[in-house]
Amino acid sequence: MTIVDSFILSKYTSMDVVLDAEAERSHVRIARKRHRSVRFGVVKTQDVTVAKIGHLFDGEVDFIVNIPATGIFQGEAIELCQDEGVGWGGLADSMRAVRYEEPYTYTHPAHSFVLPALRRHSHVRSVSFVDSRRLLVTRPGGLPPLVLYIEDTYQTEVTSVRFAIDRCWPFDIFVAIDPNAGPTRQAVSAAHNAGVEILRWGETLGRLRR
Amino acid sequence: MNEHELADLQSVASRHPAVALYVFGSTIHGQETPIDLDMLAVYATLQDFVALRADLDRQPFAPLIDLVAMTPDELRGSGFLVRSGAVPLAALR
Repeated sequence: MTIVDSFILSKYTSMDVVLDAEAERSHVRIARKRHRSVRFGVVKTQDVTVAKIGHLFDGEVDFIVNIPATGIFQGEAIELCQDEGVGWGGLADSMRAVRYEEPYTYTHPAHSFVLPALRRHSHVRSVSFVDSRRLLVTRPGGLPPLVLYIEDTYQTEVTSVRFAIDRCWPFDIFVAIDPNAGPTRQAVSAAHNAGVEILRWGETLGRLRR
Repeated sequence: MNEHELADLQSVASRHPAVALYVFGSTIHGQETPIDLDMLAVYATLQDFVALRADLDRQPFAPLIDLVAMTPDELRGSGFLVRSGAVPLAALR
């Protein structure tokens, strides 16, 4: 059974930079107008692990696409993609990556925002992916490591907090990174009731010092 | 989102009258065709929202829906409607 259905193909072929898209069981080959053709491996799972994507690395692959919007790439799967020089993300991410001359260089906007800032922070020694929602931050000077849950929705609400706890527990800080709006009052209460520290991005940068 | 997908989405919405759906972001304010659809769901009970979410997740276009969900109380204090310029899904044609 092919993973790549007509809906997925139609999303790529509807893009102005794409000439054609063709399904190859668990891959899709996308011919582009201005750049070389690319080949994306496709999975449909809530939990992206090495075991579930290993078979997709059979030759030339540019991007690993996981279709469910709520799917989570585990850290080991992200590491495999990085080691192989392959991009990764959801369907919308893959469509954005199609516009890149080299799709593997695409990074999710939330990660593009937080990773550089964390890596140049004076109180951060290293940053690595626990999964696509959580980052492990190690710190110098005897400060304990922290796991940050990164939430990039337009405004953090109760359902975001519940999703984080249900799917990505444990973590030390729920970080709401949208600069325009902080978490709703109810989301803050839900987090506190669950014993979760919830901060905005600027607050998080300060929190890393202690 | 094309006309057929919009019709399917409005059909989903009609099956969940207890949840008010709005659209915001580049779909209604952007210049270019957006990749995903930003939506706000206003729900009275969590069960109402879970039922809507499950129905949405059965649709082929589900991976391209970016959903913010709030109770009426949450929405009132958030200023989200004004800030986002969200419009009711039913207003989209």
